[in-house]
Amino acid sequence: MSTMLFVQGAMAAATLSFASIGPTAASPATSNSLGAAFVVIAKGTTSTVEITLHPSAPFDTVKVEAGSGVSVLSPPCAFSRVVAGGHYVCRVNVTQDARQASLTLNVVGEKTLDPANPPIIEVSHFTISNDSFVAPAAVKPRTMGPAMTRTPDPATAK
Amino acid sequence: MDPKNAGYLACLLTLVLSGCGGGGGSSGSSTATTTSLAASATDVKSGDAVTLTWSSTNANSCMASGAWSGTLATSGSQNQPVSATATYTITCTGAEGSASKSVTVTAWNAPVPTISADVTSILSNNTVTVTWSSQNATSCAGADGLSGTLGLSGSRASAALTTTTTLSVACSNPAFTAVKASVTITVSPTFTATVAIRYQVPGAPVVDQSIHYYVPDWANPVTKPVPFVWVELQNPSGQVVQQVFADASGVATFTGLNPSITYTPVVRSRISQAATGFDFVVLNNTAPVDTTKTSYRARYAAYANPGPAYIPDTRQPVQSMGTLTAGDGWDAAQRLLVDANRAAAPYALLASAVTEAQIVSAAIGGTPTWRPLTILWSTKNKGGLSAPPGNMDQGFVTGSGGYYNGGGHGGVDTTGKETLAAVAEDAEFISGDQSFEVMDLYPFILSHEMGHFTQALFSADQSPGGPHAYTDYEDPTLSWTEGSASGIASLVLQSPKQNRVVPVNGQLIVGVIDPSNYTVSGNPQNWPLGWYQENTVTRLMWQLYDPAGSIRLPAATVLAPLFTAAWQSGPWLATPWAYAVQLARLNPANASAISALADSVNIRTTGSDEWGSSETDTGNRTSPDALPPYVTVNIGAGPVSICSAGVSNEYNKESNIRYFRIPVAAGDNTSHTLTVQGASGTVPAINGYFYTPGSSSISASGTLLAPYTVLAVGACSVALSPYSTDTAACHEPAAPPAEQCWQVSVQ
Repeated sequence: MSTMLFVQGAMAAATLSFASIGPTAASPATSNSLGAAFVVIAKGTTSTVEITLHPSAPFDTVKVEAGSGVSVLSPPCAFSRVVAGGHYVCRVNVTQDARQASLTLNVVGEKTLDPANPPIIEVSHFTISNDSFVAPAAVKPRTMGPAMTRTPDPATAK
Repeated sequence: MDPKNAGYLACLLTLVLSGCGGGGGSSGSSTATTTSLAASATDVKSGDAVTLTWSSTNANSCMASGAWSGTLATSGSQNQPVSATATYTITCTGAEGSASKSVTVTAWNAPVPTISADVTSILSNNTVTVTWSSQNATSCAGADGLSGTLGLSGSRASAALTTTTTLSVACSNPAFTAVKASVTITVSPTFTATVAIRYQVPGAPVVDQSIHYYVPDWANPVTKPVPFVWVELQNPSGQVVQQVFADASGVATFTGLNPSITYTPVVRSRISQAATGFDFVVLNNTAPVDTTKTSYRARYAAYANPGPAYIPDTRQPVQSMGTLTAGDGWDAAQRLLVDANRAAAPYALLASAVTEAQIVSAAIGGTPTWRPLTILWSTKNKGGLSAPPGNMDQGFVTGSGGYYNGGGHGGVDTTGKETLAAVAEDAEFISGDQSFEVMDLYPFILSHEMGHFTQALFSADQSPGGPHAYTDYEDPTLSWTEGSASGIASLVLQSPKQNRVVPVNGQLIVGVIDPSNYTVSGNPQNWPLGWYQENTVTRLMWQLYDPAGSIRLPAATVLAPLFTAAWQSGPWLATPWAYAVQLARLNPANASAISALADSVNIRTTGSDEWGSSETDTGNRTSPDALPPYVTVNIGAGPVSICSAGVSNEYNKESNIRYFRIPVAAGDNTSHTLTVQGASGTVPAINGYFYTPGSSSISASGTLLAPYTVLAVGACSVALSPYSTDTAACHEPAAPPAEQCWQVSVQ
């Protein structure tokens, strides 16, 4: 028989076990109507990624866009008049920018509900680490960031 | 001779010699009337008296006129107060005629010199120009640090001053000795300088009609102060000669500066305030400075943003370096956000953190103890990684970042990869990658994460965490934790709107999410409305506060339940029901309105309790899988069937785990045995981590906490973890059925 101490903080302990490799509380939510799933079919300098959509709501268009770290994305992947409950699949080849440690694909769904209002945008992200990326050995020195602009005080303008 | 004629003759003779009586004057003859009048002083202080002394010869009577009046004896003296310059006249009359005398007494007021200088504080070896004037004076001279004879008014440059010096003018008149007026010139070898630190962010989103999207209002940016921020001065060699934290208005003050040195102000993305204990820092996690370190504060450096070099004025002892503004990085000509120019982001994050901490502190009361908070932000930061480990040095993580509890964020190996080694450090990961989400332009995300920080420090967070969306039906601890974090943010921002900046077709557009009316960019949404959706919690908290609403509770009142001892000790968990019921209890005058509002958004509060015992809304589950929120399992009673639901790796959706409570008598220190029996092929897990691999039953023994012990049960592969590599450890023979029912008993 296993032994377990029944303490009120048991739930918190469970939470911490997750927290060790991920945030205890994620960023605020957005919608998740695209039902996007990503599978890496082949990984290398150029990776093949299969994108599957199981949308729970209709979209006028859904398009796969290149995020940071992508030097080439082909072929274009886009769907129009996407319906709820549908099943959509496309494969794209993405060439990693060798200078970047990862690449990101964005699946951007758009739908106009009321022409008087801007359309609704829903974005699903997919990031792949660049396994061949080697960070520069030298630790980066402390450097200055962008300069701030100065507005002289009117009383002592210089 | 007729006497009259004799008199006429005498008069005729007198006129010839010296004049005739009645016309005044004295007679040269021995019978002529004469008089004399003298004053004891002819210059007196105003209000003082003088003694007038007079005498006469051959006079029968004397009369006073001028500044005095009346009949006088032919000789005598009299005191006369002199309030103003006066002429006293006496006229004495005798047989031979009359004679008059006058004396003038001048009344003086005290001299009134004034002196001023063009400046009263200067740096060493500078002169000042003094200007003086006087009243009631007949002469003036320099005194103290001013020398020489001066006119009654004028101006003059001082000598070069090297120490604090008093410059005086002394003026006098015949009745008064010199009266001095002074001005002290404070002379300092060093100067004090102030500099105001602000950051710039775009204005509230506006619709760009050319593309028909909400976009940041780049054309109308706003600037705000960065309170308590670190500011240092560097000399031309780059050495830090002084470092201070700014005040609440973002103004830093430096003292003892050498006017012959050119200083460069440098602002660093760290704030500290001793009075409140705030210690927040934004670090550039994609530029590690020591890869041997696993804690973020030791591994990464704060941002440092210089202002233009400042050439001191050599005369002014108090100088303003002006206002340094960290720009948002928007290039209007190219219509691009230029990463290399995004100076504002770290300071916008810090300012938001301070604002939230101040509001939360006020709601808690007293001086709550804030742990140090580390915010990781970089223009390279992004999420979207499907599974850990992320790489902090490279700026990519699972999800989209978030708050890492101070109980232990993942450690970092020498390459920046997250490890399982816990590091006690409260941290937030904020995305800045333009191709992912720019979380620094608007304060909502940071405020939301600060809400989690607040929960961890002063409230309770029993959420399993993980991915979540506004279209989800969530575990009530998740809906509470995420929804209240956004609720806190809405109170801090005084707006329910959540601005999310994402890329579309290479442009940054804004999704304007409004939980208060369930809209996105003005479009109504069919998001779930109830205890299972975080947006509902946010909506409830906002509507309780909404200054245009019907209840209009102060922010501190809306937040109060989160910080009570009851909230932190339970035994019920932090859920939407517990919040609404606690709030109603704390505000009896508004209890009915609070309960009615909560009821209207499907968080049953009227007639209910913190356990949600009266809840009737089943969300997207059937009743046995969802309600009651806490199933009661009595010690010694027969097994109770508790059903959960969900598919592998879901773990944080509604009914993935089911909560049950075991009533425990006070003082019960005996060991009890919990038994959970599942159907063949299932593996039950308690609290998401305690299970027997491959076994459909589990037992555990131990003492129970009174008055209730609260636990949760679910299918191992559903409830264990967000990642399949972990759920594989369950060794479940088959995928979990849609509904999993467990026989739970305690002996």
